[in-house]
Amino acid sequence: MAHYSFFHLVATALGLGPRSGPAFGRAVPRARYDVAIVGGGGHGLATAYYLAREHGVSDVVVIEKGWLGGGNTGRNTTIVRADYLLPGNLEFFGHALSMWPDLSRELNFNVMFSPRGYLDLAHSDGQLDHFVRRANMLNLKGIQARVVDPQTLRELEPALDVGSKPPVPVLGGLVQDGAGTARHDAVAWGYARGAHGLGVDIVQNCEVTGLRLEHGRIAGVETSHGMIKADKVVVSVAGHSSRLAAMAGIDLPIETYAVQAFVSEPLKPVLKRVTNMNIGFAYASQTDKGEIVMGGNLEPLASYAQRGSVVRLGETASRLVHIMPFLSRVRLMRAWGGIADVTADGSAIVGPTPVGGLYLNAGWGYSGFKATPAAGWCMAHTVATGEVHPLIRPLGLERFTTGALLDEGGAGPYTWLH
Amino acid sequence: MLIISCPWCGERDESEFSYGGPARPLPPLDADAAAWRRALYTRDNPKGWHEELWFHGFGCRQWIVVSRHTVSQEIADSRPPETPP
Amino acid sequence: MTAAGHSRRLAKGGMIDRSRPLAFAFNGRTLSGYEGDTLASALMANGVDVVARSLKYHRPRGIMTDGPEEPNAVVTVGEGSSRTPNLKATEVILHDGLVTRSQNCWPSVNHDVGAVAGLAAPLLGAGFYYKTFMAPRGAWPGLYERLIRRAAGLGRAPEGHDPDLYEHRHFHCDVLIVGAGPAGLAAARVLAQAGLRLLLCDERSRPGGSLTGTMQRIDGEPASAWARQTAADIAASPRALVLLETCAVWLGDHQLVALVERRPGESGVAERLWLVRPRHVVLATGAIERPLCFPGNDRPGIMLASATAAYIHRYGVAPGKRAVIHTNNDSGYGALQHLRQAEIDVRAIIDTRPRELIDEAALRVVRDVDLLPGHRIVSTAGRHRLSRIRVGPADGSRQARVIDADLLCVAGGWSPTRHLLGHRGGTVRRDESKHASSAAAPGDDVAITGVAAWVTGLAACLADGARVAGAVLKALGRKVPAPRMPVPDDETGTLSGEPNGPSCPTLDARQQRKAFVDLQNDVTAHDVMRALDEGYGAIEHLKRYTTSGMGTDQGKLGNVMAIDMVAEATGMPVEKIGHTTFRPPYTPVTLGALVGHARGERLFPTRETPFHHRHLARGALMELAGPWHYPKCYPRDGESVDAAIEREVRTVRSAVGFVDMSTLGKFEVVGPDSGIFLERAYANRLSTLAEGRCRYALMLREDGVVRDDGTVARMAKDRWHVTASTAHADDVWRHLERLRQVEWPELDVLLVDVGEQRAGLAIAGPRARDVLAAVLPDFDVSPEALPFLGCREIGFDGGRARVFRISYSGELGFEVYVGARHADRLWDAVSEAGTPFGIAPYGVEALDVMRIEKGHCAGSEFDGRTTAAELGLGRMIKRDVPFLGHALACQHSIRQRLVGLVSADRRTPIPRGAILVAGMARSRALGHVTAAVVSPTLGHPIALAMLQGSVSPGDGELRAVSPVAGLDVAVEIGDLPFYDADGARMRA
Repeated sequence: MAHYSFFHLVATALGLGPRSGPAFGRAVPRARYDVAIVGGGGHGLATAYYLAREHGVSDVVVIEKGWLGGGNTGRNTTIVRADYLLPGNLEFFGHALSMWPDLSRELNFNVMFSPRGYLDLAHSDGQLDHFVRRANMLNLKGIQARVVDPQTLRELEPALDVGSKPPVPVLGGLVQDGAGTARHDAVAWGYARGAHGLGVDIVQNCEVTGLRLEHGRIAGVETSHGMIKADKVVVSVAGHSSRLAAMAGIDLPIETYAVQAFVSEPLKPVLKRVTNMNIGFAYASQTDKGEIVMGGNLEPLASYAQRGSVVRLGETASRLVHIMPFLSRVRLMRAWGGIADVTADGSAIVGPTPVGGLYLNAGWGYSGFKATPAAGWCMAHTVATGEVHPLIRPLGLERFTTGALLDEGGAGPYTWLH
Repeated sequence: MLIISCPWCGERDESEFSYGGPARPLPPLDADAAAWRRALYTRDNPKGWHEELWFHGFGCRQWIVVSRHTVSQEIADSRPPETPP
Repeated sequence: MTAAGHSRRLAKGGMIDRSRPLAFAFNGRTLSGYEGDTLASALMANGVDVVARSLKYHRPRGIMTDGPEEPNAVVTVGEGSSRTPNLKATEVILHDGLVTRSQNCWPSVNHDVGAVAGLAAPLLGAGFYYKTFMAPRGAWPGLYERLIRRAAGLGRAPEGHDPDLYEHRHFHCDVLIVGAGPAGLAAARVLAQAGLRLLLCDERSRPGGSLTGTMQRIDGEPASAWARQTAADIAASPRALVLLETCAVWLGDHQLVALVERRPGESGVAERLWLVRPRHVVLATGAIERPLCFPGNDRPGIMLASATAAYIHRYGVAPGKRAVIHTNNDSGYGALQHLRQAEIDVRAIIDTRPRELIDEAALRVVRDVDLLPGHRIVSTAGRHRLSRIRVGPADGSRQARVIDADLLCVAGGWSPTRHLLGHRGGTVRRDESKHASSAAAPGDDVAITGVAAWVTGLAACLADGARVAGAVLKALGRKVPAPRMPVPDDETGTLSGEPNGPSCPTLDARQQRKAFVDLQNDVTAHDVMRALDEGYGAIEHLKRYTTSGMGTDQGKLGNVMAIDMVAEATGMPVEKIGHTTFRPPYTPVTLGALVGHARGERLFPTRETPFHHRHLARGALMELAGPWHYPKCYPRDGESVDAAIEREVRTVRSAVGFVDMSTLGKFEVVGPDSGIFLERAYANRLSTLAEGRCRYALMLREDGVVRDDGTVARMAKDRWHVTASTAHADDVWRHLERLRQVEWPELDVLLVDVGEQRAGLAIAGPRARDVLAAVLPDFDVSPEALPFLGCREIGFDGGRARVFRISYSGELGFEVYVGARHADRLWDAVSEAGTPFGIAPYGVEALDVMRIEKGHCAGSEFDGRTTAAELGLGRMIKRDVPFLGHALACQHSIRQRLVGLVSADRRTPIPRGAILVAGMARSRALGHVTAAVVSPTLGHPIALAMLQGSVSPGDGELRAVSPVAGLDVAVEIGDLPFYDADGARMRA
């Protein structure tokens, strides 16, 4: 596999040296593997990559129903941040954030991680107090965050209308300077290329139709390309986790919802940080191409339909226009939807399942993208060693039996409110 | 946004309603903790027809049960909660 | 009259009003056009060739189309806060004083320094940024990204607040017809005659669609005149509405169709969003002509053949002087007659097909023009405009020859416009059969007609429109009439089916680099080939890796070429390659239009209590709490906010104050089983409550966590008054109704939400009884008649008032609720009666201070994670009667507990949002401060906090730290409540 570099680019441009060659193969699956990973999104591919690189487990197949990164990896709004409150999530996402700056060089694939900063706006004294608490917790855990006043906000983001204008004033904000965005597709491609280079088979357009269990343990997966035997199976299929788990007789505390995102036409740089407002929920960031990427609440009804509604888009846009008046004349170019699996406490489920050899990586809601490297890292460790990685211990499925829930939003067991 | 047919008011815009999750009875109040956990922490989450509750808050203020397809969003039926499908 | 400088304006023709010249500016030059021009046609008339520069290589680009598919001519319109970037010149309607500017170029569009990027093109191919800029660490964001961001982006964002107004309109109808071309008009004509409620919309400013760009006649008159008359007839029928300049942009679930109407005519409204719920949708959306991929296919002067005809007929503009037609199908020959009419010299027709595949009818119109069958374009030349074309036989059998031309009409076949169907998740194939009348999803009713359904020929389109109209009438149970069909006189020049030659011939590597697939994003054939080579062959991968189809034209032209190239390179059939999903909106939509009126103070609906104007009259500082406008405090002249809060607290503690309680949820619970109902719904014992008594009550979620608190009062045996906290009022109401209707329908109980109907004031302080006695002179307010936690209903102001002796402040307190229309009377009575005692109204801040002094829980303690036991309310939970939340409430381990804190030195304020740590163990959080104030009553700082159960004296000194504020305060755990621990004051 060609090593990517500036010299490689020059050489290919001049017709010298090796061509880039396929970034990831198009394997036909073999009959058995040590590990089968269901789901060729960022999480599944990262798991495969770290299994091969960190643990020498390269007899691995990644099985993808459609095209790599075609699920939430390719549909999310690419935000990378670590501003969680509760112990468990706090440490996990803190570690996840710390993995991003080196990812491009590690993968020899530029995932364009851009630590441009994340800005969360407070609109009431109560929210401001809560932000102070959150930032304090992060600081005590060694994760950078600060709380700024309106004057500083004006300096940080001149395009924001920071004032006391009714009905929603901006009273301050939480800033995480090392947070930002990355290029979502590149994360999938980079991990795929890395895993492929380490001997992992990647199979696209192959649908898993069943999980084979023998004596209460996983024995393999049935696919549209036939049976693939494996001692260990990792299910990493955001949105469709319930259906896969049901194939092994496991009921999950998960329901699936559509989340809508949309982009404007490209503009010259106007917004530096990922900016979030907290009346309802709405956020925006500007891509390197200049588009403003925007999103809001999930559509609050169970849905596998990868689309949102124009009315809800308008509601989200109205909040953003309130804070970023320039957006009013900017034009919406494209809207799309992804489906997110949301758990009964709003936090992810990562780790082993009651079925021996079957591992689950699910329930990320709309937090999955930023978790990609760490989720892959921890899952690979767990699968390879048989020991649950300490960072994902609080995220186990068993917490819904023990009661040690991680309810960041305090919304309770009502998934559509998370 | 959907058009939901309220059994009391007729066809109304989704914005008049709020979603209330899957329509399935809660365990008896004296059921044990395990039964409650099962009820709260296992979900069918079907990709297909889904029986769910909606509250017609900006209308008749009645809870209704709606059969909706979670992919096509088609609504096949809506009825008062005590009525069997 | 002829305006000066209109070098390309034809002497006559076009649907412009030559009596109404309009002045506009382009890049600082003042130019003129006519009423009826678009910016594109006016620029073309003025001989402007280079309108814009491309995104990556800054290549000069002109005008290629006459519609929303335009990839090249993208400009900025307006200035300052009225600036709109990235508008397609083809969709900007010219008006007097329009100010327009090219984008993405410096110093000017004709001399753009950025064009040096073209020299580096071999380095900047598909995905180049994935392969480099990785080292050293931090260089990507620090250097490279900054450079790329500056280079990328098209126009500059507007500045400040948008001066334009937007509005929404909801509309219900029997049929929505999208597109007022021949098929749409034919359908609408029938449906309007049948009296259906009908909405016909078209994105253009004139009805007729393709009819406005032809020389055909219908019923003996010019087709465009027929279209105008037919549209007028439809608009005249009483139940039909015709909207021009109105584009259907989004087909949503349950057939919610969003239309954007530009310039609706009402003063001040720039755009109007229509949200239409039709029972039937008819898509008569026509087709978009495809371009062809060949080296140098991006120069100004290269246009779609159909656009050439459109400029001649719609705007009276000759797009060039010496033309060549390049086609792969018969419809391209239709351009000949238009060019001839405009007296444009046609130098050649280059057809990629061999002669035997060309239709005889097409060959007949060629006459004396040089026909080059089986040929293709090898290259084009011309710096700011096409000047020469090199053309050679496809098989390379002969030398290429050079043709001088300044206009190249490209005809690559047609793509039916079916984007709206894709919005609903319907898969869109390129070759769906004729008469496609398909549902986008079950339950929807969407029919496609005319060219959009691959019906070709004018007579056939008119007939198909009428046929679809008949099907709609039939579905609606109406009689289907047999209307007289309009008769076109001539079929020449209508579309003739599928292209029967490839849009992307095989090119060598050098040619590939100059053959553009996506013109706006500068994606070349070479980029597509490289992406395929590197494994990005899935069509979505190709799009994402190359960015093909991701420009503001949304790939309306480019996607087809990309798919054809993949087919050509891989040998896969086009149907198997698939198509990237058509995402909404169909064409870019102003966010302001989607927002509508929901801006400024109308961002969302807010609520006022019945005392609102009394608050304002008393000088309240109002703030928004959730949706409620509520007093923060009532500062007096020259008084600071802090001083006002402190004074209000002191007033209550030492004399008497009153506060608006109307935002609480208020429910009436009535019926024989009301006691059982409440007993099941709340965690504490309620059924034993005596009539005329009330109780603090706690409600749990199913999972045992606290949902809300409130007061439950038994007014009579079967009648209860229940309150819920302001923040949870709606949730609690929904929840209680759910329990009644869904879970326990067997209980005979009725709930009524009286939140809007009742206004409430709390009167609190040592003199509260005196005030109440004066307000209600006929009512016995003595402790014997109305003991602590007693309640009564009495007459007031001709209505009924309910009086509750409860206290949130910790002082002797009464809450009085009256009908909302008696609110002013109640306020005035309390205010007046209290004056001798020094009464003052108090706001939410004083309320909060006093509840902290009393250790009452509020929103920051009820955070959706805490249990009753953790909040010190465990003793309220009943053990013997099951209630909702009971099973799991008993299961929770106590992970934290509510405590009171005082600063160790009794001076330093305890920071808000602080974390509790012990000694030097800073990373181990032992809890957090939920609320902190300096108590005016106690004279020192106090706080409420959630402390994790396991803190032992050996852990070291307890500290409240706030690293973000740089604060670190030693604290001690104090006894709760801080104030009046035995409750003597409120029981007084």
